[in-house]
Amino acid sequence: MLIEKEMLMAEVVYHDHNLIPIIGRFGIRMGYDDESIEELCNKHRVNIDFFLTILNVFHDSEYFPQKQMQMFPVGMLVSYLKKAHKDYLEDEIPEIKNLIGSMISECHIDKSTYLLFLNFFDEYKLELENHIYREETKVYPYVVALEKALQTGKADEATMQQMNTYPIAEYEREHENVEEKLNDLKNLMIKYLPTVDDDRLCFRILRELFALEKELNEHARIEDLILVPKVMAMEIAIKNREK
Amino acid sequence: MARAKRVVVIDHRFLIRAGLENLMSELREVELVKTFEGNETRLSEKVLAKKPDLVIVNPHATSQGFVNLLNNIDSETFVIGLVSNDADVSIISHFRQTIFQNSNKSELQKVFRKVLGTTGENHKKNGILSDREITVLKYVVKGYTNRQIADELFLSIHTIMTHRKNIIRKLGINTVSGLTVYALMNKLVIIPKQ
Ligand SMILES: [Fe+2]
Ligand SMILES: [Fe+2]
Repeated sequence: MLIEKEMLMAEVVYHDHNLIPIIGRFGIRMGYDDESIEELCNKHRVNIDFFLTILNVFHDSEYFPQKQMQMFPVGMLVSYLKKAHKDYLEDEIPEIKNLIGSMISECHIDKSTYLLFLNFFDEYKLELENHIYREETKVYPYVVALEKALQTGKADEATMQQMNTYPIAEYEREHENVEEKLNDLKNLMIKYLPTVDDDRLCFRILRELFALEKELNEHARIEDLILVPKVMAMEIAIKNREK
Repeated sequence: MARAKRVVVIDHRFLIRAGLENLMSELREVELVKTFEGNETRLSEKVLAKKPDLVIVNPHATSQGFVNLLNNIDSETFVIGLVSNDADVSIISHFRQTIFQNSNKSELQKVFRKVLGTTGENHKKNGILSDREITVLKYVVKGYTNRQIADELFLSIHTIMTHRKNIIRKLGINTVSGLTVYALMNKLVIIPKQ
């Protein structure tokens, strides 16, 4: 289903409730009444094209954003991505960690295997944090600086230097490692972790891991499909101008 | 991990597509990756992009002719024709295997099991490592490079890489840290005292 601005927000959510947190990131909270996407976006001063692009990418993994839908300023995209990062690091990851903690404390036999699992989760967490940290301190500021350089007509030296030493195409390659570790976590749990007494707890952890995986995949797709091409285009535009 | 067998269905009728989807979901290690109506532009390209093991196609669904589509599919992919009972031999002869619109469930299941069991070369049991693979895994976990493992075991780097690939495929675990957890859980290596 292609999500369009005439649709009622409630209807969209009936269709795909996984979108609720994403809609929330735009400041549009539940209690949608019978209002359409367009009405709600206007009310909350949200760019409709941008909103629809993000929702569609999350909703349909085969959706590919059209060029004309990508006219929104890059700062808007960056602030959305940062909000998403915050959710991952402050809510979702700690929640999973808590659940793993409860699983360990409820285990009365040999805890060592579960502690290994927790260790691996911590390792994964660290890798995700590092990736996000790099994005927020290196990549995003660079992206915003590029846009400014294009608007003002002059690029500062640091931006030019980063463009030559660490262009956006480099960064694109970093997503895979994080995904692989999460996949291993799931598989270890499904296939090799000895059973504990509380099945429901295991099930909840697994469900959270699957949900996190889906979210992060779509997040990376937004970065790879929308952010990276946009930035590449800006890099080319600046390079051409400098000639 | 052995990947699930990938199936693509091409039929213009929604109910047929839904029915096949349902059937596939009951088969183990089989995944219906995509259904098409048959009138999509660049259909063969889209079908091939899914890297299917099996394509089930209704010859009447494709607008540019299914022969064109069949010609583009390589011989590793099995193609089943979904035909009507009175279908002409000229159509049936294009397929190694056909199923009929009024076939009953167990007939269909039998065909799918047979076809999907024979395509693909991977028959090995998963999850069980050979002695050699366990040896290699132990070195990987200890942080040895492929070169170092090859030297230790008097094998070529190429052989070590094959072992590593098989370990990853069998266990479904890709990262060295994940493999470490596996090895520790199964007491293949011992946890150093802290
Ligand atoms: Fe990110
Ligand atoms: Fe990222």
